[in-house]
Amino acid sequence: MLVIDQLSIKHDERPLLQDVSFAIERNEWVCLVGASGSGKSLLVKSILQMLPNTLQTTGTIYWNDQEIGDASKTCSIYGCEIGYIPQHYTTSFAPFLTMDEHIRDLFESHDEAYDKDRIRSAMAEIHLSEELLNRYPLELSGGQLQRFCLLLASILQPTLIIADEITNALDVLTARQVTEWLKSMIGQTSSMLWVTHDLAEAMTYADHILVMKDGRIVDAGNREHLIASENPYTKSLLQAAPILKREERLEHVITR
Amino acid sequence: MKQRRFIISGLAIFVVMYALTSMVDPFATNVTNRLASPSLHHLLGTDHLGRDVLSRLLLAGGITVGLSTVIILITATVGIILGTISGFVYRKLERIVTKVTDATIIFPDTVLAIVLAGVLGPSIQSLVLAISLIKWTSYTRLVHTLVLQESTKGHVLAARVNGLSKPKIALRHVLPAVCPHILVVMSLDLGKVILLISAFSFIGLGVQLPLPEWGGMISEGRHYLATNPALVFWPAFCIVLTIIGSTRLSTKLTRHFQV
Repeated sequence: MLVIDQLSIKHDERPLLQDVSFAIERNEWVCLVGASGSGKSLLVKSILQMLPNTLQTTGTIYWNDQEIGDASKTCSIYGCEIGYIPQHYTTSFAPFLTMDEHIRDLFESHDEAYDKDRIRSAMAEIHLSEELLNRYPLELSGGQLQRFCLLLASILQPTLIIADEITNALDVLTARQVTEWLKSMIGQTSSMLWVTHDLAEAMTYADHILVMKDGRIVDAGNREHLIASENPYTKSLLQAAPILKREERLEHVITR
Repeated sequence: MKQRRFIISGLAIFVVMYALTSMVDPFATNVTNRLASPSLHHLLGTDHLGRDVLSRLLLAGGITVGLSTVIILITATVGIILGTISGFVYRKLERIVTKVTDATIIFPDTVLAIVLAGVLGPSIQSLVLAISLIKWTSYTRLVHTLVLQESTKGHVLAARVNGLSKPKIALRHVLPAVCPHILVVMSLDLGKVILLISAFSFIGLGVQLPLPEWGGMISEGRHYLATNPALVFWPAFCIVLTIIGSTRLSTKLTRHFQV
């Protein structure tokens, strides 16, 4: 579905991303893990065609076997086929538009009829009351805004949702709740590219985990593969995740 | 403070109502009553042709402020359209628009406007065209810069990722954020353009006689400065008052929009 082939990004000959290649299949939950500055958000921006012109890019991104530049020109894949949940949800809404206007604009831009029932049921699922639709972003709390971000990214049932470090600023319980909401909203029909610092979170939800360091994918595989990985960076990430450390220890005891 | 405002507004309304109801024709000449002192029939006296000064002042006010408003609306509209297109909707135009505005900005605007008005010939149309031709560049540059700033905001990027078209984002996300800044500059420019129109009329390139215009009235009245200074004082007073008004309006708008 989404294929990234040999993607490299440079700025003044300084490499920011180097030979990044991976694919996301239908209904697959892929996690991109790595420290700050490892190139995760840059990779997301390149998928979303949001890179500034000053960066030199080589390599190709395919969406359903079509180069993403061409696909986004011929039809608007963003918002409709690829949903995006931004990291900074508080600034993601125009302060002079109500939440209802934001949702209406999304529907209109993709020639979809404004489906009040669909919106109502989606809102109920993430515990948002209907009266919030007529409010402006400044009248909503951070948590409510974040849930509206989830709503906008998933309401048109895209086939891929990209979530960029959305649980970073949240406490553990809320982060878990948001992830569960997202999981229930996308159901079995969408794939997910989940960008996170938290390896424990990635281990819990992902079918496939990509570990990034200094603009490269240094390790990739499922949960079992990463636990058994000999890659020093993956090892250090695992050691830094206390929950996993305990689980790993348990597994070690069981296997002994 | 409120009481003072009430008295000033009351007086202004009384003067306007009186001038309107007394039905004095601002064009009617009466050489037997020239340079007359203020009376009940002519509240501010008459000019060198015996025309009522108050009614001419009011008509001139309408013309000057009206023309300024038209010029600012034209230039701001051109600036908004070109600035938004070159800064956001169709960035390929950016270089052309920037080069043209840079080239125009090199010339001193008042001198350029006088040359243009001189070439086009003295008339209201030439005046509007000349001032509009020098003013559009500043609005285009301002809007272009503001649009570039706005286009990096989170909600604009989010709208792009949600698949909204560029014209739609410009209309729904960029322009509403840019407009308060433009309104403030427009209100400030109102005073500047009034001054420019008056200056043009003063040197004979603007509004032509017998139509009254504040700059033109000063030009006519300056010959009688020694004997009848009121002929210069009142139009000059109106110009100053309107410019102060436009400055106060811009301050209020700045506070209101918090820009």
